Amino acid sequence: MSELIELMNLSKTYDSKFLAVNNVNLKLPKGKIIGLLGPNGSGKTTIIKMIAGVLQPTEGSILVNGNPVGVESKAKVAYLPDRTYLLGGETIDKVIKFFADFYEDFSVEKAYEMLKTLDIDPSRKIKTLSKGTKEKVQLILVMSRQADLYILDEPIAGVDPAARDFILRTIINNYNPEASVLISTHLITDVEHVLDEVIFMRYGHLVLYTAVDNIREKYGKSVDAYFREVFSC
Amino acid sequence: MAWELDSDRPIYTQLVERIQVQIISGYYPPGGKLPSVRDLAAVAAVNPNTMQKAFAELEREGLIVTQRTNGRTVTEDETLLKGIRMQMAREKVDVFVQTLKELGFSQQEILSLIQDVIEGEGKNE
Amino acid sequence: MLKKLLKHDLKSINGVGCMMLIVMAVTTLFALLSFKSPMWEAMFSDSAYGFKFGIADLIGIIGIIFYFIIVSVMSFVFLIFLGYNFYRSMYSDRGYLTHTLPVTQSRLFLSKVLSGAIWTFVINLAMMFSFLAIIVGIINVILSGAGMEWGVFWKEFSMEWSDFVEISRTEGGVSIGSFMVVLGIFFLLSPVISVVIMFGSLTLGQLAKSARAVLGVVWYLLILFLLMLISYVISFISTLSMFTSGEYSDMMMLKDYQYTYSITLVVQLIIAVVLWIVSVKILKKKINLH
Repeated sequence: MSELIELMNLSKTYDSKFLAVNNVNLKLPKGKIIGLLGPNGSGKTTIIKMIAGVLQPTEGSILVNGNPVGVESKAKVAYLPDRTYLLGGETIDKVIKFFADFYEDFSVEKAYEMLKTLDIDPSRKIKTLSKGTKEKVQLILVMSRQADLYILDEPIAGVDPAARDFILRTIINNYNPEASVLISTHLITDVEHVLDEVIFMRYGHLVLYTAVDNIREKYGKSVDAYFREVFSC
Repeated sequence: MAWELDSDRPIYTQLVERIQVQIISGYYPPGGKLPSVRDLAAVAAVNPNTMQKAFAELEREGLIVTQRTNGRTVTEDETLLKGIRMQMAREKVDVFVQTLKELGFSQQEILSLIQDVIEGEGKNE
Repeated sequence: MLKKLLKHDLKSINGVGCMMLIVMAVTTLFALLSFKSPMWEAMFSDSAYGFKFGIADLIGIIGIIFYFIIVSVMSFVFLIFLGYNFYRSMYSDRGYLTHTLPVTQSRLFLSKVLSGAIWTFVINLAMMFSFLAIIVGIINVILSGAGMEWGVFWKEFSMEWSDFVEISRTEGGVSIGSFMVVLGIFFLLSPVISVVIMFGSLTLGQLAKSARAVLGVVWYLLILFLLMLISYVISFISTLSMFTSGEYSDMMMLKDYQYTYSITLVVQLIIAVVLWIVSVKILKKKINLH
């Protein structure tokens, strides 16, 4: 079984001195929901950006389903960054058309269905939406794709509990054994119950990669509790 | 409504327990059909992989049977069901008796307490 | 994919582009109408006595001033808009969407340049027609003031023009025809060149850690300044060589001008090409959105 993501000796250095990501080796399988956890500055977002292709590694390589990061991988990766990338003057309808144009795996029906569920009017202009609504729209755009890898960078931070619920349910419902979801978050408690595996990062290093059940069985703790233990010093 | 789950125990074991209860109590009757992994995972708001693991465990115990044509159904093995029912009750009673003993109750006191409670409930019905 | 990119990139410019065209049309119309003011005619006719200054004449003057201001500012403003649009799409938060599209970086850049250049060309064309209309308008006023017919004017003008072309060739060794060709090429290439220089400068600005937008603008001004310097140097050298050779005449001035112009064009082209290559390299290797 080939791995979905392979990170080999991956490093990223800023300004020739700051090692944001330090020699990370990791193989992630298909069909899993994986949490990328770690304190701020641990390199989570840097790794995500490199897999998504908005940042170049300083050393090492990345393979997504056997392809290096490029046009092929971008076509099969759905990335939700931790910021708003939608511009003001467009309507949601226009943005959906844009996505459908560039991504073959984008499902327009799914997108409109989810918008309806959340009671968001697609004819509205982006700039009229509240921050929370914009984030929901961005999530819908990502989840309407039938990608091999979904990367969600802090999808539930700063989101109300109902929306949080919706997001996690959507992730669960979207599950398919050929794809994986990589969720980067510091709100471990809220997502723990949907994760199969977790990655712990610290100071750019890979500290731990294991199944959630391993932690719970072995240590009798929640991942959140174990995480606090590991990182408290 | 998402199922309430403890965060310090593996989720799949909790799912197994919960579905066991649902089967024993007749919510899923013997021979009855079970929802698909996906559907039940969505209802419970858990990862389908985890639900799959739970189903696999239940299958291993013999509580669930996978048929080619019918999908997943509850077993019709009455003996097995009775056995598990008894086992679940026994576990609960064990814990109960243990707890009361720690509180200093004697065996006789425990038995009268049980009688009182049951009769009391009988009056209220 | 390029077609799709182009479609969406053009769409993002259409609004402002059309607005510019409309503004230009209105301004030109206004200027042309202002020619109707009797002031102009009086200026060019012999009977300037008894001319009283009225509202119509004020409008006339305003019309012309307005026109010059608008038109000289227009292409610059549009270029700034194109730069802003480019920056927003590539290096602001929107970049997270732009750079994760399943397209290569060079395609991205190409689409941005083409869409900007196409619109710039259209606006330049519109400006040219506008100038033509104004010139015709001015000539019209002069002619009616002097009481000359258009037919007569045109005949005399054509004769002067062919004389001029002839003399340029024989005395100055300058082919007006080939100069026109150079001007034509420049008209086609300058939208691409100006857009590439703008986008390339903004991309160079991304190499810094912070204040990237500001740095991009600084790069742009630096490159513009460099180009201006180069063209002055070329012009200076050419004029100097002309003086020292002792052959100074109107025709030589023309030759000098053509020379300077062509070489400046080539230099601009080279700089644009270099910037393009460097930009794509930066996009491929050094991109780091904040």
